[in-house]
Amino acid sequence: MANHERNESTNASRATNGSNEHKFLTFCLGSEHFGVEILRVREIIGLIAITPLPQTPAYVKGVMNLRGRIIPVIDLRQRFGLLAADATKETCVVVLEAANDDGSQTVMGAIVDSVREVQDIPPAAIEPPPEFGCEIPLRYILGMGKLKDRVVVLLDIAEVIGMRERAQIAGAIKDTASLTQGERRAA
Amino acid sequence: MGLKASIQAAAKAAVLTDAGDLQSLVALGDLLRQLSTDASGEGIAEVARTSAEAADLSDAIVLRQVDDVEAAFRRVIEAVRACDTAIEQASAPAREPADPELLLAWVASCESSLPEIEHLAVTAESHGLTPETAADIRRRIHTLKGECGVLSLSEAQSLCHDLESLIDASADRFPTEAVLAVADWMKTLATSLRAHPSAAEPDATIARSTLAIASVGLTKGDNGQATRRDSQHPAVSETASTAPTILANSSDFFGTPNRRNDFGEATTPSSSSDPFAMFTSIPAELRVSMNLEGADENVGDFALEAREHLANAEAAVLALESGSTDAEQVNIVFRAFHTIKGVAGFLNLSRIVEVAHAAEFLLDKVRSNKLALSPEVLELVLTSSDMLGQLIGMLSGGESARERELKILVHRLEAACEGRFFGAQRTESTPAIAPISVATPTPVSNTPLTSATSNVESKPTAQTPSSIAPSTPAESATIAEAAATASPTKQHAMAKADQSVKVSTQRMDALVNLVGELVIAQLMVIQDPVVTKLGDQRVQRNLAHLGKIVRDLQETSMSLRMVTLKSTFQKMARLVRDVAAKAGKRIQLEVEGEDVELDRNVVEEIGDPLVHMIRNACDHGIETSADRLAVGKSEVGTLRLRAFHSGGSIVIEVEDDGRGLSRERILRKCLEKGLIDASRNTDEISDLEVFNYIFLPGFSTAEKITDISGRGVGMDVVRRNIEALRGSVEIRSTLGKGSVFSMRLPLTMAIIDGMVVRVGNQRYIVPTLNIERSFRPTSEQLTKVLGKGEVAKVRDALLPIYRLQRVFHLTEGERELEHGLLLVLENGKRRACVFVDEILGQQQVVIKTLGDTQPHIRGVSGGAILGDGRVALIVDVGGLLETATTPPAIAA
Repeated sequence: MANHERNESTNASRATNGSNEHKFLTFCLGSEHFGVEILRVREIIGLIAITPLPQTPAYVKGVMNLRGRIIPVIDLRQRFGLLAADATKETCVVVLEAANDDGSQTVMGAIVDSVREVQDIPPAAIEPPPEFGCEIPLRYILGMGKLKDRVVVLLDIAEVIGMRERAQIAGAIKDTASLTQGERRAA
Repeated sequence: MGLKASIQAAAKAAVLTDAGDLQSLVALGDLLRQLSTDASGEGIAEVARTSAEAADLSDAIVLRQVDDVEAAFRRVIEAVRACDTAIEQASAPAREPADPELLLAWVASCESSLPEIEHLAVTAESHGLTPETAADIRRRIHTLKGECGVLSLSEAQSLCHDLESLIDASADRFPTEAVLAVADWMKTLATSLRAHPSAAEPDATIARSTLAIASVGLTKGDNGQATRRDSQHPAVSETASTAPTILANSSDFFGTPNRRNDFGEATTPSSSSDPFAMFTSIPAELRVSMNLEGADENVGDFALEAREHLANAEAAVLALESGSTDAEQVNIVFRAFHTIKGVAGFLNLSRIVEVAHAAEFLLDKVRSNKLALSPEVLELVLTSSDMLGQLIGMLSGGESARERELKILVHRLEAACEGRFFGAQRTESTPAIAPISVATPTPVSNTPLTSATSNVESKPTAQTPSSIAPSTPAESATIAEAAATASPTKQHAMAKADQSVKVSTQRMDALVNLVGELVIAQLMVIQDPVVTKLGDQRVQRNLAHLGKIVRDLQETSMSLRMVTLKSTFQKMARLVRDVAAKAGKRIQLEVEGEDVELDRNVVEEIGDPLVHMIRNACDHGIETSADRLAVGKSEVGTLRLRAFHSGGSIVIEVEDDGRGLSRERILRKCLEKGLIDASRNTDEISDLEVFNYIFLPGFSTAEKITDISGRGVGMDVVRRNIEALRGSVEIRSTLGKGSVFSMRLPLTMAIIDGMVVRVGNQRYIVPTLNIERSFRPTSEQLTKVLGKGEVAKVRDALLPIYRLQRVFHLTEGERELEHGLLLVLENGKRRACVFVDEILGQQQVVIKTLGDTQPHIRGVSGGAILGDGRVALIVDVGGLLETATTPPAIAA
């Protein structure tokens, strides 16, 4: 009975969010256009002072102050192995959030060259990613969104900033946080 | 009136009625009769019968036809409760998903009460079981049973019921195992319900088998009772004599939609003629639990309030002693004792009731001018107050009062009354007066309190004048006067002062975070160049005032997060018991300082390390009884768990009187593993350093742990967890005598005093506590070892130099040591110099995590937002020095 109710409530929430369901924020890295689900975007802010973190991979630019909360910032160009570029007037930080398996939320800033617009891309206009020809690992890609004049690479934010990403950052450091957790559980 | 309404009215009346309050008793009797009529109308014969009998009984009390008024009254109350349960069950036949909020409230109260039950059971086992403890446990389980019934948790209810019967049946041997097994099961249940309110109850086979085993053991030792019960009720006979059958039967039995069976069984196990007979076997111990709040909370609140009442009373007595003749002062004292008595009675704290009653009685004599207010009387009142204070202290684990002293005191109090008034009788047993009093129209009414009780949060305090429940007719009259003279608002304020509010941790954390924000924002304003340039005195003064308020606010909000170590320590008691039982050792746990308060987050985090240390101490530290006797120690090992304040931090120590750590063995192992340079003279290595080696990862796993007396399994994890809390851990040990593991923890994890330092254009925060001194080095003080490692001579000590710039891989910053500053940092016994460009200043910073993706970065414990809104990393001195000093072999 309770399950039934829960289903209903999620349906209801889906219905109210329906208008945002297929909306994507598009942005540029170099000449390529990318898109992320608008529901995953918390806000867009200009590039502000970033404090570098030692012992992290190069694409982790450091941490910044998001209204009193400290969040890590990654450089999406470097993340995807594109050539680094100097910051311009248009460079900004897209603050993304992704739900983790354990119910917590990861909030992370991603530096992009410029933000374009919010596009409605219905599922019918999304095709699976091609096997080749893309510089980005396939697991980061939700699909390819076909717009009138171009194709947008839709990113799977949960993959890019979510749990697996966390493990990777941690893995880059000798003393991994995940190991500690595992040990604590074992103890 | 519907059945529901009448049971509710009866239940409410039962709670508010005192055995001596005849008018309320009459009203209760009427309500019970109404209930009986309604119940027979609905076809619930059991309830109809019970409530009718209860009504008769309450009338009998009014007419003084019973000998033991208190006991009879308790039976009435128990009957009301039983009716309530029965009606609840009858009207809720199937497992309906209970109100989620109610369920969660229950889960929360369960999570706090179960450890308490465990604690009681474990204490009972190790320190001998007192009838009070047994009754207390039984009562708590009884409460749980009732609550499970309300929430339609049939399995849980039946388990509790079986356990309750078991406890009742096992008078000489308390079934600790069974209690613990059920408690464990209930914990699982609570956890799964917290995750999914509609979750099915977990499998109870283990708990049931334990119960069965316990009852089999019981049957052997207690045939008489089993036989007696046999003749009464088939289900009970199963409990007592053929325990294994209960596995199959009881759940069916209690799972049946109509719960009247359950109810009938619960009330008639020992005698068929009198439904209340079973309660006479547990006199003075029954409590009424009408709400879902944890019993412990009530007791805790009571202790808190009672202390304040006592303080008020003492102040009043002192005023009287210094010559005040104000009748109100006597009233204050009287009310204090009276209130304590009332609430203690409600919570079944019989000793407290005994003393408070005797003192109250004496004071009543004074109030009604039957007794002069002599210094002797005042002295007695003060002594009673002290005794009550001591008894109340026992509730929170204080030193126990001496039974003898208590008896003498009560005797003296009674003698003081009767010595002066030979004709005076205990009015409770004077039936002649009763009807008169009933007829007297007294302003004692239940209305204000009734509304209060409908609120679940309200406590059973009896502070408003109308709620003072008189226990003698004489009192009821005098109280009416008191109520008329006393200012109601004043008393109301008194009642308000003690109240506490439950707040969700989420909201509290949000508040604390916001205050943290405020501190940062305030700093940003104060440090803003525009503001500092103003130089206006008024602005500066206002800003300073603002700063003060913000600091106060911060302190207050921090104090909200402080919780005692009590529940953590109670869990440890259980752990010690289990480990000791498993290892076949006898270990006695002594706990000190469980009232010490720590930040909630710290308390949550120290559980694991503490478990580890205690397990180690029990398992490897303390020897078996035979070994202990062989070396001339007492057979029972002692484990001491202590918490105390020490210089701005909290120290938690685990001390055992076991075999201690063997320095030689550890050293030998270190040499084997190459942890210590073989050329080093081992005699020069301090004990502290030697013992510290067991914290190194991988130290102990190579050889059987027991060979080096066993410390070290996962000790690196222990240390890492504690250091993550910005704490430290240290070992002291004497071979053959025992060891002490000492954890030093910060009071709060949220704020530190820090020194802001600059390296290049980055700023870092170094905790001020870790900085010994700072200086600009001269070239004479600096030396290089083998052209690489830099050392500085600091007051005859040679300390290694770490450049923060290199540790944090920065490209910019000062390179010449003479142009920068050296900070001498220390953490525990490690010292080193850290090279920075300059010190910018000192300030309090709010520690923040580096986002939730934060990996553990060596040398960084978190981040803080500085006045300009930028993030500065906080240097983790322990980690930094460790990174720098750990030999490469282990760091890898």
